[in-house]
Amino acid sequence: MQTANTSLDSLLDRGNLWQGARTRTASKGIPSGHPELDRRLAGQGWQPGNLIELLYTGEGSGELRLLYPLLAALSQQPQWIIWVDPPHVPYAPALAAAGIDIRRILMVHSRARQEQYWALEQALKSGECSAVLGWAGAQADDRALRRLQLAASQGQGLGFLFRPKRCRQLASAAPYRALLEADPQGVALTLFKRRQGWSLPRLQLPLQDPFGPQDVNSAPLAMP
Amino acid sequence: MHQPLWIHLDFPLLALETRYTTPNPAPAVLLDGAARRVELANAAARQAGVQIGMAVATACSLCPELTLHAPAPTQARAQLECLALWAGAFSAQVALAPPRGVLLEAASMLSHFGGVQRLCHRLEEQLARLHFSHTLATGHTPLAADLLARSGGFVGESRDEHRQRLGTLPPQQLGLPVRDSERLRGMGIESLGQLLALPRDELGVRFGAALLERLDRLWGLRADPPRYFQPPPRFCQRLELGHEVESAQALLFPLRRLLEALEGYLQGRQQQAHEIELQLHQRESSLPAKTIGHRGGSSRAQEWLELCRLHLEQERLQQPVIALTLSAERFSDRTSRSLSLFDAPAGNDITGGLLNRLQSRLGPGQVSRLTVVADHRPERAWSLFSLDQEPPPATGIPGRPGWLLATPQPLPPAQRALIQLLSGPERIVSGWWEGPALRRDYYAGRWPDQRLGWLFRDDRGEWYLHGWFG
Repeated sequence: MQTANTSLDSLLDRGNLWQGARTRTASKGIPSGHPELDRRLAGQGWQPGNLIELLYTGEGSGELRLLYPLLAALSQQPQWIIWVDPPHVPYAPALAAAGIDIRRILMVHSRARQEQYWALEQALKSGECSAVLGWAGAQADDRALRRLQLAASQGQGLGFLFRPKRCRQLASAAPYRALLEADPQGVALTLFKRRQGWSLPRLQLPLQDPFGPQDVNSAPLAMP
Repeated sequence: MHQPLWIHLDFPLLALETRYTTPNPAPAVLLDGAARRVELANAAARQAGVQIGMAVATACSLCPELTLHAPAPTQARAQLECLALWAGAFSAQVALAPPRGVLLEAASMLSHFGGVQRLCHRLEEQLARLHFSHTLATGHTPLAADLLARSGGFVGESRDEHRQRLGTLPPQQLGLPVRDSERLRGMGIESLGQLLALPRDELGVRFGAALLERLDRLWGLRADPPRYFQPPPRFCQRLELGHEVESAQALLFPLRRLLEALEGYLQGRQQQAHEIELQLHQRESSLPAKTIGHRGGSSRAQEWLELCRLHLEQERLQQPVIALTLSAERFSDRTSRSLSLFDAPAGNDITGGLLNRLQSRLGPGQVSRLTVVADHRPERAWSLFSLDQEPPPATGIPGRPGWLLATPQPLPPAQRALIQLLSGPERIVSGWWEGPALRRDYYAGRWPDQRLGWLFRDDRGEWYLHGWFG
């Protein structure tokens, strides 16, 4: 009986069993800052200690604005928010305007891929980072991701791994995987793998107006 | 007034074990000055049948894999000084007892450590990290502690306990001239107790005043203040390695002993180091010294070793290393640094350790913070900030993109035509007082694939992409 229960539990834990209307109670997650998304995540948010893989075609898709509310909340904690090898300059005036306390941000530039994985792993497992943002590229293989996931579960922070869209076909140990697409209203998120549940359909999330006082949805300007 | 109490640490294999580069060595012996006979043999060699005083050829035939070390008295002496520095964590008054012992004044430390048993337990615990064979003994006089340590170790508390124990030792332990030892044996004297029971005047007549003086020092009848070791104002210790070390990783074991010495040195002074300098010496030359920093400052050998390991991992040795020098001079008084600044989960070794590790492995320039700069020019409105200071709180600018391109990227007219402008223009005119003036109209625009970019037109009508609304 014992073993039967154990295997049932593990099936439930992995979300492989559909339980009808009952959803398994998950430990409380870290709110993503988007109520529509939180509603659909077990524990009403990202479960700490996990890698979240975000796939997108290129910068400008809303990949940072998606995280602004979360980063703003996490920056109130004493831990670091660490950025490892961002593709461009994270623009401090914009981050500050989004309510992020940029004094908690730590920038790391590695000089080689091995160093990058090493830095990500150290940051994830140190427990000194509330969030670890990494731009790992397509080359990160499953073994590397497995190590990073293990490190994340040791440190209990959140690890966001930004990768090109084409990585969707590759195996990945990240418990959350999502495709991110630019959308006129904000961003469209397809969470095709997640903790304790099946994949979610494409979800449109409105984002904070990036241009300040002017209306984004106003008619296009005349060509100057 | 405390009852006097001393602790003697005896390191019987010091001269040999100084040469090790691993904690569990293969059979090894130290030769005498003429390199003919075995002077010291480690446990593995003795197990193979090697004995002290044996000819080298015999020892080698008994144990073909035997490692031979030539004696290096200066090296053993340097190691003994390291041990005295290390002992600084336990007592403010430490004396060298060359060639292989260290003496600690213990009476004044008992209340701090909670009794002699606890103190000795702590010493043993810390000694285990150094990987030296050792025996420890207490004594009511320095000489008593020395004798008891050389005869197997003893921990006692009172003068009587020590005297009782000393009484059972054979008189040869006193280190008398061979002739005197023989005569005592001839007289049927087999223990120090018996020797002391003899009439004092008789003893003086037969064996001379030197024996009496030695017995008085041992028993505590004559004051015997040791010459205390004075730690130098600057920590700088050179450690010669037993043989040529080819891999940087193999340096960690000897380095640990140096760092443990540094820890004792710092603890004794209630200080911590912020920077250490590590220099590797090769046969022909020395590598430039590496400076290794610890942001919060630390005295702990384990933390420094971790940082040194990160440095050494990157080291490619062109030539073998024959010696190490460790020095430190930037100290600060130790504040009660909480070891868990944040409630870090268990298994997290060092708090604040992440920054140190990142800086050590990646280089100090690769890790930084961000700050906002009050400048109208977008590319000057941010900057990286050193980790050494807390940046001021920043105020943001609305309508700016999360990503800034390091250099604006030209947008050809054909590409520009596909971009739908959403907001703007925002005119930015600035910087005419230094360098070329800047005059741009910034817009937010939507790319055909729905991505949002930040672009501008300069005063010549050319378009550039300057950021992405990530």
